[in-house]
Amino acid sequence: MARIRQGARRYADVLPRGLPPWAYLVGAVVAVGWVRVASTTWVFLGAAACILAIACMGLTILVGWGGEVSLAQASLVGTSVYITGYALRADGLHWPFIPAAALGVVTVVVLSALISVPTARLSGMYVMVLTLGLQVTLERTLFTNARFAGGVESVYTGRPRFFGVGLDSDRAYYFLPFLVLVAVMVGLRLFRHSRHGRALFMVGRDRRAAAAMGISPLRYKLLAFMIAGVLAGVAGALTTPLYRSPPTSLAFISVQSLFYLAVPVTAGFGSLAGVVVVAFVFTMTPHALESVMRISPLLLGGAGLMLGTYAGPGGFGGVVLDRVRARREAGLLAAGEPGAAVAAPAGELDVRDEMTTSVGGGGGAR
Amino acid sequence: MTLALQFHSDILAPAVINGLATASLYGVLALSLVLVYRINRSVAFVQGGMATVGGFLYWYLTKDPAVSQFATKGLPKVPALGLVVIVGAVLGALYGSVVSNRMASYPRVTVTTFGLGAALFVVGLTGTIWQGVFETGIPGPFTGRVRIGSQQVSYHQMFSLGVLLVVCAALTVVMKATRGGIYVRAIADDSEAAEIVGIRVSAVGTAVWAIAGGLGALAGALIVPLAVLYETALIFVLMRALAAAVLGGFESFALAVAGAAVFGIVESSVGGGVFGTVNAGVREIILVVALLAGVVVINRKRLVAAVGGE
Repeated sequence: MARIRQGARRYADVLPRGLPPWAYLVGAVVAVGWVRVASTTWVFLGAAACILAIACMGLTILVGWGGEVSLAQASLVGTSVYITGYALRADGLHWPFIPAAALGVVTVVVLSALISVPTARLSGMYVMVLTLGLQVTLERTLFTNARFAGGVESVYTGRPRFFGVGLDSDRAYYFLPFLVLVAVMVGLRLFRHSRHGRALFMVGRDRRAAAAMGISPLRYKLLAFMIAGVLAGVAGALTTPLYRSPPTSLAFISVQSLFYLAVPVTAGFGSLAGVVVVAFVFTMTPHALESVMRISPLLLGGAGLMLGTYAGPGGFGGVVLDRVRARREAGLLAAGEPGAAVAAPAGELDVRDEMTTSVGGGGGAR
Repeated sequence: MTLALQFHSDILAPAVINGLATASLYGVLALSLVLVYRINRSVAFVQGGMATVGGFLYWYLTKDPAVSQFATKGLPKVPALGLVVIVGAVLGALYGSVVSNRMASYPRVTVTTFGLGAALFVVGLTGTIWQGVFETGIPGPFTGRVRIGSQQVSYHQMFSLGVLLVVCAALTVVMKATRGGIYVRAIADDSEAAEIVGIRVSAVGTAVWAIAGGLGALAGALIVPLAVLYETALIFVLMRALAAAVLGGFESFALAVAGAAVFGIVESSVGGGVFGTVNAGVREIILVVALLAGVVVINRKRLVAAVGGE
């Protein structure tokens, strides 16, 4: 009984503190219920936004927590898309969804681990150059291979069924990436507070101090790249059935890797929920504005990356949370409550406060 | 799979000439990368955005509206090229004023990431303004061809090579023999010390970025007559320029030009079939291996220098 209680408390810790129970209920109803009332176009974009958020959380771990950087995330997602698609298709391996997705994920994790090897002793700037090189290599090799990418002929990839439930409609399929996204957020939150999560943070914050404490920076750097690879692989595997036929390789070229990086930089590396919000904003805004003017999503990504970097280590999310905290502290001080200066607002500030990143703002490590 | 290595000496000379001509196109961009690296020790990915602006603007100003589905201007090409360089310099100065002032104390990786964002923003902006552009056959400032050996080389390629050599020589002289060059080197070594001795670090930084912006836009304008112009096309060229700059160690303009030449010749020889039929994927792998080797060598040199300096 005590173990059950301990486990329940551990999972309860995943939830942001300070929010009333009804807020969770409302959040869950909105996250699930909007699918019933929105048009299928918006639901499709919602599924795409969930997938983008999953891929970008990989960069949150790699860049924000591990202090590394990668400009190859889009190519990793694309690799998983095409490998999974090839394994799924009738003219490919014709495997069921789970093994096909596993093949895509494993391939990407191996690639991601391989990237981490030559970058182990390089500074962030050169890691950018090399990962961009890998990105271009993949887009000029794998993505131009008609067997995987489909070439000019459109090849059909069906959507999976789980326990007899078909996900053929866009409304039904939305729940697959949505549930995976929730699982990823819970998993990352648990990982963050685990021994290995704290060690990864330590390596990202001060590599030499981590090594002095007996933590292997190389091992945790490899771990960060592998987690980013897993999430890129999962995002790719979920993308394959979303589009039903392989998307054009333009969806995974080098500028898309910058777009992926823009999401966590804009959100700030302290907030996983912020990544979800920014992923939804970046995915849906161009469509929302389409009747007024057509804008390239890259424009939003570029603006987010510039302003998020300019804003400081926390990105926009950090700026917003700082304001919330300042207002809350001012309110508590005015009320004369003890411990006001250390009180944290609701949300994920506890994560942000512990992190530094080599990318955002003036306080980075390198 | 069998990989049979062949050698066709009869097409080596044309491949070398073609490689040199091609290298001149991204050599200019490589020079701008080296210039920026020499003052703030960051890789100026933003130059991909500058090249995109230059390429799109040159196309917009010069393409004959009668043969384009877009409302292009059809202006004379040489003045248009000058205008492109001026716009690039102004954009470079704007960007430089931000990174040389507010972001002067930011880590290099942060400045590099900011540059990535700026490049993405500019690419998105051009894609928003000129949606659906997929243009070929954009005329260079000089038309016509000349025969060198068995290889036809266009006047545009020769002009690009001339621009590359002139810019390389000018930058080398400015850096070595002028007060401005000394300021740039001083800022690169220690910007705080440079400020203490009276160098206006932000002004010099902005000026360097203006020159780099002009060069980036010029590079874009020189490339588009030989490429397909679309939203993200010039980002690929940035990879070649990066490879050239890395092969040159990011320090020397002459070595960057040599890097561009070596890379261009290797790419042209491999792609042209001097070593048998090699597909595009293998050529990209060669690019990355060259990048990797260059980066590792530079990194080792820096480590050795750092240890020696301690």
